Amino acid sequence: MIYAKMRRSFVVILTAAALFVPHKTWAWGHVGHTVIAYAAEQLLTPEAKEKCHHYLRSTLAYQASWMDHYRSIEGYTDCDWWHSTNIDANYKVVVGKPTTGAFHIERIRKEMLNGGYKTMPDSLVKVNLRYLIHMIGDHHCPAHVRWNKEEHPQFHYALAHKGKKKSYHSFWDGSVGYWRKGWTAERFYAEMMKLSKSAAKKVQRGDGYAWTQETADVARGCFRLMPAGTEITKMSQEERADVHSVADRQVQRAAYRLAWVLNEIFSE
Amino acid sequence: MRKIVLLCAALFVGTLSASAWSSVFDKTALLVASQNYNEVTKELVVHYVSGDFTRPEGYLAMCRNNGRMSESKGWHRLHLDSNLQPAAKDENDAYVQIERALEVVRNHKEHKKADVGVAIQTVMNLVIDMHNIANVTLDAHPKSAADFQVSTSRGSANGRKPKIWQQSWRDLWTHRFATHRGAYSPQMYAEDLAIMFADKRVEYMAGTLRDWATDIGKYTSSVYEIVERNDNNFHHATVQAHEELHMSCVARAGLRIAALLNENLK
Repeated sequence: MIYAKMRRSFVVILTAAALFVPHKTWAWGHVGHTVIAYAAEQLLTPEAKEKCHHYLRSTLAYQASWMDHYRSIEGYTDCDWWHSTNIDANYKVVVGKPTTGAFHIERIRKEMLNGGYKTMPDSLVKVNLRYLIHMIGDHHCPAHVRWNKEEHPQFHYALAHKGKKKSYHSFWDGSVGYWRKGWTAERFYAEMMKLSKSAAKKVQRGDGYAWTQETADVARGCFRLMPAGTEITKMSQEERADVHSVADRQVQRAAYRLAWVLNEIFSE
Repeated sequence: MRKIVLLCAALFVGTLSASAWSSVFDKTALLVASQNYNEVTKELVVHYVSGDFTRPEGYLAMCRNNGRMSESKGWHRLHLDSNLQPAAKDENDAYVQIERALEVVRNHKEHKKADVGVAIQTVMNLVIDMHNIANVTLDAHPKSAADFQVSTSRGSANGRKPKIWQQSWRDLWTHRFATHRGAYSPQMYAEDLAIMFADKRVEYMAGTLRDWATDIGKYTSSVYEIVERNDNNFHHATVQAHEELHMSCVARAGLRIAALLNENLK
């Protein structure tokens, strides 16, 4: 009897807590992007860091989710498509299509390289940096490759969270912090495995298309890892570790590559 | 048992509503302050309070939760007249209580160590509180931030479903900006503030407590006017565009704590 009362009490307390604690979204969105941008900033040369701060008037992390906030604002709605890139029927990344993010990663890189940024107004450099910071992050998220529904019907399904439908996309968007609530970007970075110079060199090559292709290949593995209807709350420790392993590796690659791109742009 | 549960729930809610700003911004302001203390202030803050410069975050609320300083419950408010001058009608006002605490800080050698510690932490807490527009009441505006219900929406570009948030301006200002940046720590915010407002540092630290109250009144008025002009309905972008103002309030609070302690703690 007393236990039943206590149980009810805990339910009341937990309900009260749920009502008054500020709501957090499921986002990788913000957590993943902040971690990538924060980690990338630690890998910048002093010169590149100073230039980024000069143009952004903030750290990279502060601008990491800007594209998400402005995607539906007049003047920026075209960029709504730039958060992901299409994959064709043969599992190959679609090249040269202006409604894809990979296209714009490469366009902006080329325009800014070799001192190109110096010919741009500061406001354009700023917005281009915001795009690169966000798009390079997005293109390492397994949910940010677009599978045509007719060509790849097998990749269009939902997961489950406490018996309710949970979109596959939103799960992977939130995968970095899903089971690590309250971690700061500093903690993620401290626990992130740092790459040796030679390993970093291997990661830091290629381009937006190659990275997206790699992400598409990773994404196919993710579908095997979490088939349709997977109940997220019932995943074992090993299965969770597998998710973290994929998410962390992608975050790490994104951070190293973002730093590489910015170091290259701002090297004299 | 039910009474205990209700008491626990009430205490929990009470603790939250007493917290004027999200904890992360309180800590950020204290970090900014500590980065701007002179050597004497640093040494004396360590002596009277602690070596952890962010520890006084939520000090008054914590005291109240421990059954002390119950009189401080209404101190976080700032009341300004139609000329945006401090116009407290009673003791429940940040301006009045900061002035009082500063008396102790100025004459710290004549007071007990514990009393000076309380005064310093009161200054820290209330300077932060008065910079949060959610705590400001203006004679020129009969409503306060808690009264404005705002609806913010993210549009429906390219067929996307619009997202709509309904909340008071107070909640928006006090909590939303804190929760929409995942994984952000006070140290990270402090670093951003140092970059964003490097050229404003001297301007923000200059002046008197009275000048700052007027300054706070000006930006509070500007926010209220925008709220009214938009008929309480905002696009998500309008809210985002105000984040810089919000961040500048945190920066101002931190820099001004440092200015007051550097000036008075000698």
